[in-house]
Amino acid sequence: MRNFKHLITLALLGLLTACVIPSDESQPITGSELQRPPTDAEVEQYNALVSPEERIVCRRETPVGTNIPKRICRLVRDVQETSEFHREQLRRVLR
Amino acid sequence: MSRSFTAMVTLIGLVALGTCAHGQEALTSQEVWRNNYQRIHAEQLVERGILAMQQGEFQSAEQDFSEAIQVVKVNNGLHSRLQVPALSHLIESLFAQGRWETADQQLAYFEWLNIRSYSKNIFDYLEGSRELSRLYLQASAYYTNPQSARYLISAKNLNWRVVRSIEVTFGTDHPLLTPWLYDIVLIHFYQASLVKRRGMTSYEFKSDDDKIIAGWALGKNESIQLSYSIGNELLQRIRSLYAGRENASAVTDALMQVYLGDWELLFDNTRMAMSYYRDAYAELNNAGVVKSEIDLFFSQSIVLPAGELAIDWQPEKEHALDGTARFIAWSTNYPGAAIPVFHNPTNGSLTPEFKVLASFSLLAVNSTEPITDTSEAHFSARQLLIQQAIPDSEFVRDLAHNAIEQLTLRPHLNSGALEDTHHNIELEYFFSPEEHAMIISNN
Repeated sequence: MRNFKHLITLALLGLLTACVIPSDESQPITGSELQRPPTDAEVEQYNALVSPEERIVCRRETPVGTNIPKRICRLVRDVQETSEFHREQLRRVLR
Repeated sequence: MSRSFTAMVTLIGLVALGTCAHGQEALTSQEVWRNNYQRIHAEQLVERGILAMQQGEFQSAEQDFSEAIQVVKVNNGLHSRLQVPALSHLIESLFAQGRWETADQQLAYFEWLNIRSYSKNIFDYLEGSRELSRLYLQASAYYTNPQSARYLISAKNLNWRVVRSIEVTFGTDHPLLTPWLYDIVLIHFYQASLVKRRGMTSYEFKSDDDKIIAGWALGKNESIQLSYSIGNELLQRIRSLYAGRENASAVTDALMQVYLGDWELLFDNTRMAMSYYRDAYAELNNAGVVKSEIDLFFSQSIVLPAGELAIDWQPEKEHALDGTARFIAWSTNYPGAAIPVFHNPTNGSLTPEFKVLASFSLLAVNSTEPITDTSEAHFSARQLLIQQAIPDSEFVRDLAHNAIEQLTLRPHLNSGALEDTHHNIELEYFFSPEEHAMIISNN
């Protein structure tokens, strides 16, 4: 029984250490860090600097097949084009 | 011969006289012209315009300010920054007349003029931007303005552009950034207040532009949540800016925690707010600040959000001498918001004919029991009593009652624990200009 407890403790420790990623703050920022999604404030600052069509809008959406919401950012221009495309499709169907 | 000679001489004499008279006339008109465009004349025109504004003669004021701008242009060049004061007054006179389209043209001209100064002197640009931001906020506060939200977002976008210009010129961790970042935080509070009141949505990508973008509009709660998130992120950034400085101080960090707590409280995150306040209390204690001073700081009645970011330890600063807090309402567009600091009238120009004196408690819990569950506590006015109303009427008392109930105040702490104020908070509430009009029409 005691051996079993040791085994479980060892296994848990092993799992924990496996999750540790060595970090070195002196190293330059890697590509993956640069690719992090922009924060809300960063998005807002970007939007203030560009023309209205170039702005992006981010919101949390729950994709089909999962209950975990995901933050999705899109260009306002793309949103408009997609909306227009869908409206056109609807008009065709209703004709 | 003699007769014709005499006639000719007479004619020449007459012509000469005429020319001379014409020249004299031209000289006089030139002198008048010069007088009209004398530099000192611009200042006189601005002074006269300000007087006309005070008397409610907005058209006459507009004319004076326009002429003052022309005088500055003639004397100092078309793009001179010396026209900015007259231009600001001109825009204010247009706001007062509700001439929003003309005001927009003048605001666009101000923006253009201001951007020109960016490459020459960034401090001129910052000064101009501060004034422009003030004007946008002023426009957004007019209850009669059909596009008040658009002006609010214009102020916010301008502040973001200024933040970018400081980042590019001085770096992303320069202390010059902090007042601009805090102003964006305050604008998010106003924005959330507007969204709550009107249920307006998707400001950030449609309201500062003529184009209305269909689809993907943010819902009311999403919009409020976004404002909370951005405000929180910016306050954290300001905290890091101060923490990263060579002379970083624990007291400043504690004060930043108080501001973070205030922000949480404004968005009903009571537990988180209390956690920040307690940490701030402990940090001040550890930094060697005398306990009585910390308790004095946390015994002040401060309506949130604080108008300015104060990072120096001045525990008595906000404490009114007679213990009465003062709140000057800004606009009915933004219930619960105090007039922004740079609009704040001096004591002499306050309107004491429209105010109330109220007293209230801060906590709604039974004071005989220990306060354990802070999530149940409220930090707005409870057991509110209107002690004095000017003018005194049922309408004024009701108006003040509703307005004061919407305010959020920083909780009082004693020895780091929540303290019930037992009806001891006194507040002098000054009505906003729209409320003045409502009171006059009702009386």
